[in-house]
Amino acid sequence: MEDEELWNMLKQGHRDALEKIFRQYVRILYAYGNRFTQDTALVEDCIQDLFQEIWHKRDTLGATDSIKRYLLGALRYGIIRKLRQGASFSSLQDTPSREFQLTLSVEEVLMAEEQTQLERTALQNAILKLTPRQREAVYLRYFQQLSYDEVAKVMHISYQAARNLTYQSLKHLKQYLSAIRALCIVGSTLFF
Amino acid sequence: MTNEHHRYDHYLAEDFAQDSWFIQWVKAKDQNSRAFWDKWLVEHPEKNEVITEARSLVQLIHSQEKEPSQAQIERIWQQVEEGLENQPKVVIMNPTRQYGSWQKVAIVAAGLALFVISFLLLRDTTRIIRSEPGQQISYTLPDRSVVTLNAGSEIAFDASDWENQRRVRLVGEAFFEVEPGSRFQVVSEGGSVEVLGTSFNVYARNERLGVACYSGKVKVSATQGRAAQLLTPGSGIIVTEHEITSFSVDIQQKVEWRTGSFIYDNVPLSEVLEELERQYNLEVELHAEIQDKNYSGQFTNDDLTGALQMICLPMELTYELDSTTKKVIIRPE
Repeated sequence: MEDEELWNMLKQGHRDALEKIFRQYVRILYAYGNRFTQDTALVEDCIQDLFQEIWHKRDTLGATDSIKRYLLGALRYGIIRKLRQGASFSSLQDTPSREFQLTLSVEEVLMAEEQTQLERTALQNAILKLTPRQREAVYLRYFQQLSYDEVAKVMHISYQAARNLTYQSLKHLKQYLSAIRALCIVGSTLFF
Repeated sequence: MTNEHHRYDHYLAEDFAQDSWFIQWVKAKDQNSRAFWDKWLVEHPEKNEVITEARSLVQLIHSQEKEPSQAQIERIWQQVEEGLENQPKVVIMNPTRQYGSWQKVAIVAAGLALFVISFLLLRDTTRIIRSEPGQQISYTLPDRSVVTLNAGSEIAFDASDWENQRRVRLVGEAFFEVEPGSRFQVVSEGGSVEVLGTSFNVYARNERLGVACYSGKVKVSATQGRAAQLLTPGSGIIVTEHEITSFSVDIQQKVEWRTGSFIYDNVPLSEVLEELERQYNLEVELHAEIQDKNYSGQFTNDDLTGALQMICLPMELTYELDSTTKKVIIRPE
């Protein structure tokens, strides 16, 4: 079923449509949400709140051409709001990091080549050097395969800003990629 | 197309890695993008290195997703549902208008009356839940038992009589997680399955009934009036017109089709291809001389080319896929 049709059924009060949307997107939302915090229970709460909210305000929901983009954006907003509340109420406790988590796979890229601890560290550093926003943009673009326009809407930034964030990240990663390659060559000349 | 070809002439690796069409080629590997990029590479041999680098960049961005378990999903949904019921539903037709509290009561009362009247008028309470080809759906029955339908399957039950009789008709394949309570019955062409509270998988297509028990006890009665069989966790049987065969079930593992993979051990090729048709919403044409072959192996429902290769390669078959008409022709090599 097309997104628009499903969304309209929800707006007309079809509970099946709500459940269908839930089951279709809960995995994506869960994965995305858990990149903002280690607190799985908080993510679950936010997903619950999100679906209850869209049900209760279904009469006033706007049209959307992409349910996925709408849900990702709404969940993002909910999680960040909750994390902020948590931070102000319990400054004594460990506040969950608002860092957007992203790990990259060296395996895929250097499949044929021997991996050393050095390479792993180099890659890990490359990711740590990205800002949380850069990581998030890269995630939405490459994992969730959103368009720049959609990335911009989810993150509440301009189209150009979304492009810049991913472009900067890629440039950065490219440097590290060449560094890793160089390490591999150095490694092999040392050992053989 | 010429424009498309020239658009990339001055791209750097990071430009390619940002391009949707390029990403599609690296990630989805579909035929259209592959045809384009293969050709482009032949025409631009000097770009080989840049392309390799750009591919690495796209592949680099790949990571482990945190996946919720089925139980977690059900729990979240249950809590969503509870929240829906707790709040009185007042449908405000005109959002700018404010209702007084007595008006709200009147609206709720009117809504209730309407509900009761329509309930009395519309006595046909048979519910039919159907999954389309290429789609798996979960449905919560009135007693909170959960049934997950594999692609191209259908269940029907009488909602008004559910409290007296928990009975579901099934055509296709489904996984049941039954809440404890009175007898729960799944009726199919090949026979029926009865349980009290348990989880089990039922395959009911082409007069073939396959049942796998994951927890509790399951009673299977074949239509042909043979003695009923009692299944315990970890056991399963396949009932056909001619025979009953037992098999063992790994209850630690999720039923394969629920994870998107389909595993076969010496199963008629036609049956395997029917599943492929349902998972990918395709039409498969099988050459006459290979119709009787049996297949052992597996395929997954997220990569069509891969699935076709998994089926065809070991059996020395070739396939032709027309992605616009969604038709596949399979013949001997």
